[in-house]
Amino acid sequence: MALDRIPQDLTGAGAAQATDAALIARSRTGDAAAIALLVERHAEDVYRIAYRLVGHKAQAEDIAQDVLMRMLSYREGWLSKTSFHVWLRRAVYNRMVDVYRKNRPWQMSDLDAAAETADAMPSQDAVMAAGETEAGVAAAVLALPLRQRMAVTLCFFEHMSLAEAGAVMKVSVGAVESLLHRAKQSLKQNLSHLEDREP
Amino acid sequence: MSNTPEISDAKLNAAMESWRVPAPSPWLQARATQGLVQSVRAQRRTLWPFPPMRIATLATATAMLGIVLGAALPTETQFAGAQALSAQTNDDYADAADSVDVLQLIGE
Repeated sequence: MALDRIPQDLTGAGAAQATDAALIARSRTGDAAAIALLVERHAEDVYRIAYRLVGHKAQAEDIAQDVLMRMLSYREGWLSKTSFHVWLRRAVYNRMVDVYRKNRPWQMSDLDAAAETADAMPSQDAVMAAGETEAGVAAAVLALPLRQRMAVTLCFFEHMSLAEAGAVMKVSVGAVESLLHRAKQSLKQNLSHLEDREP
Repeated sequence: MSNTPEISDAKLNAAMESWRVPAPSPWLQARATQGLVQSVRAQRRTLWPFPPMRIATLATATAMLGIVLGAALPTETQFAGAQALSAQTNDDYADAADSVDVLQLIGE
């Protein structure tokens, strides 16, 4: 990782030219400008994904803060071919799993089994009572099991490919497809009241 | 199970798009940047307690000590050492053998 490939001036064109890997290398030397640029580039992405997973601004900010603080632990080498883009999103997912484990320890004997269990299925009445479509969608997505929620967040909201989502979640493309299929079925059921509304 | 018909794909997609993410608090970036800067600097202090200027000074002092010690060695030793090095570099085995003999004599 050549530090000399990073422009000394990290404003304007210099900032745009600097790669993430180069910025990370420079950040490790304590360069505040490189750190600020790295945070500026990724803070919104990390926060947005976290928000889709928790549906709560303050909690999403806490998770984003934790993940951003770990950014410099990313290492790319012959052992790890994971790109920073994928690695960062995986860090959000892993942080969510930690939160999940902390809050629901009695269900964590088998993470996969627990992750397949819905947090709290909203009743049709509750979703109807939410009134607004946006609130109804939020409630329906947040009611999905964690892994389905992550698959929907990455593929639908973040427009990632199945392969990229699989890399983030460390599962096969087929597994992502399966998660999305089940998520879609649940969402269709929980949002069925919207069928009667005008688009 | 409800008898309500399932929502169509098109309506589901449109509904999903309606879920917006509120903007993060303005302090998020500033706090993360400040935390990272402090963390990196603290880590560097723990790993190597000397600031860069002191490292440079230490390197210069070591180099100067090497020069002084080199100059203080007997001339014969310097000559034989230089010859041996030269022979190895040029693959001149005969000269190298002579140089080793000279070194052995000095050792005796």
